[in-house]
Amino acid sequence: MTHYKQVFDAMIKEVNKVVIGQDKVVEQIIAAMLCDSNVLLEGYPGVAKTMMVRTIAQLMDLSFSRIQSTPDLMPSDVTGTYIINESKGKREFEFQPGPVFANIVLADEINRATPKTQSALLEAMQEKQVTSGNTTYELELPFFVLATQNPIEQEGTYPLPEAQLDRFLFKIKVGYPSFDDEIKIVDKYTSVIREHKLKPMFSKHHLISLQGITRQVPIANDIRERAVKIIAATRVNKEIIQYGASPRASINIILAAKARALINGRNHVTLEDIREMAFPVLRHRIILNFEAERKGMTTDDAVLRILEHVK
Amino acid sequence: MKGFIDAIREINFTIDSIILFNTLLNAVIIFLAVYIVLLLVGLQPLYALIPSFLYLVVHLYRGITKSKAVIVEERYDKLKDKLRTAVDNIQVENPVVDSLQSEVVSQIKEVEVASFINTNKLSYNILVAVLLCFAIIFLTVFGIKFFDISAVFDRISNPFSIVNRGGASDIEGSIMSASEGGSIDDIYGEASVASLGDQNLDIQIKSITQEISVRDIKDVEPRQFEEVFPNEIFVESAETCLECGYQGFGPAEQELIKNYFLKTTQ
Repeated sequence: MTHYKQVFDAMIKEVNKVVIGQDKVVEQIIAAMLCDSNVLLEGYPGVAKTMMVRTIAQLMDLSFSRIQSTPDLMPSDVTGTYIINESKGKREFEFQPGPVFANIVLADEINRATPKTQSALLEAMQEKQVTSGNTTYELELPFFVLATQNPIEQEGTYPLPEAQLDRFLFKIKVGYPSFDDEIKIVDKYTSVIREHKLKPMFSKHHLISLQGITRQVPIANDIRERAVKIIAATRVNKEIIQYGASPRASINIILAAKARALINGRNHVTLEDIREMAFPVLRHRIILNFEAERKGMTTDDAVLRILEHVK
Repeated sequence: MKGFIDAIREINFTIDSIILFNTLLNAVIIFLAVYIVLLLVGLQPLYALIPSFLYLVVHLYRGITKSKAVIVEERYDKLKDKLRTAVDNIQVENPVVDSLQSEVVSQIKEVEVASFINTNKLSYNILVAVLLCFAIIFLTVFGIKFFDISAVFDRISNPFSIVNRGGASDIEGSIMSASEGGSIDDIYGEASVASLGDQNLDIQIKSITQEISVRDIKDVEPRQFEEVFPNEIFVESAETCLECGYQGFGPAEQELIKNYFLKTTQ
């Protein structure tokens, strides 16, 4: 199992050559990929969200596409559409796959797309297939959607409804780098124009097998029960939480803890894994009540309070 | 996997044995302590079996039902979370669980039985048990008793006992009832005075030293009363019943005999 730790450490180190100071974010993105699930990245502009995802796609030898969401983006712009193809004097409709037909799809500022377009992307996320007309097209595995949101400039946006937010495994906050890291970034990107060519570290087949191994990581009964208690506590704590997390969150937190254990080269899940994964799993799944918001509490504060109370 | 199962069985057996031993030792100490208390207050000492048995059952149940993996993990950090996880997933077969079980088996070899035994506490408990035993022997030999609860219970349960210390009127009343046709055996006092539990105490009264020797228990030998009797007996018998002899007793003689038995019970 230590071999896996070496592989993932090397991968994070490789990403670090391009994106500096976001090791924890990269680890969580890799964990989400091991769980075969999707991620919502929230961060201010210019913190290297797109670059991070593109770099990870290169290292895993996965095809990558980017969708810049705008209010006029149509569902067919995402899924693909039929176009008339004329050949040998014949005209026929031919399906032109959209950008969703990639292994990693980065949907930038997904909250700017209309609900109709959001739902087209979300169907692909959930079903791993696309329906156009009467035909259903399977998406190539592995398939991930990494959607981004800007915490500012919320005017004219279409916030994702809670039911659809629940389909994202993690909501990862991409913060600003530290001062020292920012110095390194400045040095790296102001000296010479470089093209970072990274060699793939493993293939998509390896990734698929790693996804299977992730689910095989065992968890102790009491740790499993603690995880479910944490999720259940979000539903009963009415002092600060108006709506708690669903049972899907229980599945996701345990799966994420298993992925974290594998990344750290362990063959078992610890309580620390559950605690660490509780934040990205629950951040977008709980809705604070008015009193908590009035006090300036964030969802992370609510999750921390629940973790402290659940024994 | 078989090796792992065997290792877990061995650990469970070892820890269960240690728990059983400790619980038994503590139960013995409780028994001895309660035995002393009951001895000092005059109650049946064998009742000490009840609390010690209850302690044994409760603590044994708690100890055996506690997860042995947790007990081992508390002492060995290396096995923290691993042993518990491996035990909970003992039925699962996949490469990750297999690697976990192999790792646990290799680390379990470092677990020593001695680490589960607190030698200081064990030595202390054994010492306490020995001291309690000596205390019981001491108390039994010298018959030390703070107070006799059983006598209090007897008095409460038999308030109208003929042996009780009533006033002179009580004595007269009993004498009158005896003289008015009551059985001559009544003047000899309560038969229970001469019994110990369910066993009649056949004792030999040494007329010279007036000592009662518990050890000398044997059948009462018939004796020829050739001692000199008090003058009062001859005088009264001459005055009141010349024809009675020693076959019948007058009221005064009855009073004398009753006083005798009363004074022996005091």
